[in-house]
Amino acid sequence: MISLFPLLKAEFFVSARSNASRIVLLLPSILGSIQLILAKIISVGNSARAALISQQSPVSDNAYGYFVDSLTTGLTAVVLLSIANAAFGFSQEREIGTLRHLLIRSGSRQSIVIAKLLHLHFLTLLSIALLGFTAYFVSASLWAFEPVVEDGYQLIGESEIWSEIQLGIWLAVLPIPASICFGLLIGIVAQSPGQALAVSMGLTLTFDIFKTNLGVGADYVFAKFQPSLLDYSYIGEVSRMVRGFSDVFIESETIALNTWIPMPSALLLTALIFFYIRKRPL
Amino acid sequence: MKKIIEIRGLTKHYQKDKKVLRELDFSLEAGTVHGLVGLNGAGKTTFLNCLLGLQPFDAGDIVILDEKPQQLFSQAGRVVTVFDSPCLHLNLTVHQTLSHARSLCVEPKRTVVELEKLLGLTQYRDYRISQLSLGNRRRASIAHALVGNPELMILDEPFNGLDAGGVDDVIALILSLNRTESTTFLLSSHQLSYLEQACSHLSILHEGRIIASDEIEKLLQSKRSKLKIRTQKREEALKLIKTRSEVSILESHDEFKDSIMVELGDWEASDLNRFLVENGIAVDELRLDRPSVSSFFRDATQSSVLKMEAF
Repeated sequence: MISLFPLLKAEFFVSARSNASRIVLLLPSILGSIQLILAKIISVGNSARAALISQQSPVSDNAYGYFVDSLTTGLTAVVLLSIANAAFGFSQEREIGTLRHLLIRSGSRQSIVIAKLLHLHFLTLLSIALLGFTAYFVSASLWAFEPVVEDGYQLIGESEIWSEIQLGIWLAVLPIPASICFGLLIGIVAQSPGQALAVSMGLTLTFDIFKTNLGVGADYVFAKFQPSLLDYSYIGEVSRMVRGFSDVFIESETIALNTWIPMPSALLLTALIFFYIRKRPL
Repeated sequence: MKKIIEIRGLTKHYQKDKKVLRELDFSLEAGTVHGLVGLNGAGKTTFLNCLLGLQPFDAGDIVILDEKPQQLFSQAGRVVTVFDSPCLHLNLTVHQTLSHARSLCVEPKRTVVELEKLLGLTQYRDYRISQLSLGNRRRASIAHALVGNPELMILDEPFNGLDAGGVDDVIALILSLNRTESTTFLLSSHQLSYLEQACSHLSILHEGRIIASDEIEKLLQSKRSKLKIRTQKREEALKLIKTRSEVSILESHDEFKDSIMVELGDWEASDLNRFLVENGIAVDELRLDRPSVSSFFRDATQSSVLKMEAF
């Protein structure tokens, strides 16, 4: 543990000057913001069309729905980029040999891995925080945050909306440590950075495509609960809920699995990382 | 003298029946500049990787600065390495790379500016490592290693990519650090002539074992000088030389039909020349081939050193 501080310092030194870190940090916020701007353009178009044919706009102009959509898109990008960054980054450092200097001068294999995990988690956390702020301010500048009201009757109050959003974000963020560990494990096992990237993204997207075919088995895989391209995460349902849809039904069992599966998965993957790094030629 | 590296019975194989290192024994004395040579595939890189804890090994015992290779990091920069490839972050500039090395170093001894001056990198300080030539990447790697006050520097192919001036500078730097700061060096290289200039000791790694290891002077003492004699009266000269025990005939050169190759024993080249002339044989040419690291290595490994020098 004594050797962890210089290793962390070195990680952050390189990360602050790396394009990959900039992409992980900024791209989710940019994508979330682009989605909000496009949604506003479409919303304005729909409102204009509805006004022309003297109909009420079918889409609610409450900011909450758009805000949650933007968060979902951004979190999907955060997950994919974090996996790719963990896998590619480690494998590339192994290939160019920079890990060798760390191993000889600064820390054990285990402390190098811990420093990398801490750095990757910090970067992801920063990216999520930036995404949250960006999505909130862009949503607030384009729409108003207000309770969901239908025919003068308040369906959901703001405090209830916020608590649902918080739960949605919490449940979406819970699988991310396991995703990062998964990416790092692939990076350690892979023979080259290209292979690490292809395998990590390939496995993630393959699971994403087939998770509905796996039945209840998929409920025990952490990746089931992360925001993804074919999204079945809780936050996806929150998006419908805050728009006032009444057919939202989320089983408490699913929430329980979402709460309890990712962290043990992260620990298991960390144990595998420690196992493989012991004998891996660097 | 204190042993800085002590290796006993090091064995490593990649496949069950393919041993790369075979019960290898090696030691390195503090304060020496030690060269390590071997043919391609002799196991030099595997040897260095095992020594530095980068690769696990199957059997044997390695102690480096009183530590196991896996615990080398606890020496906090007393051992540094310059690898064959730069092993530096390609997206960082030279200045950032050296600042990064300083941030990793427990007790930095030199400033970034001093390192840039020392290795002639001042004009390249804002270049990314990826933009540097091979030779300047090598300089940056050496500067990266010299941030602290290393006791042992291990350099793998330190002369690759350097021009003649660069090689002279690096050799001068090695000798200066060895003399002024008692830094011990282990240089692994194919370029035997450069090793001869830089090193006090030499080890030859062949087929997974160290087959020779000692001071260069002592190694070469066991070898005799060879002399090529060219004369019009070759047959008469051969008969005369056979009568003398001070020299022994190695081969007669078919290439020129007028040459004889002998190994000098107690005689110098001038003694043999006088002997031939006094016996009425005019000598057209005498070419002395003194024992060198190249010839020693060639004899030890029974290979063509020309192939090696081409690298």
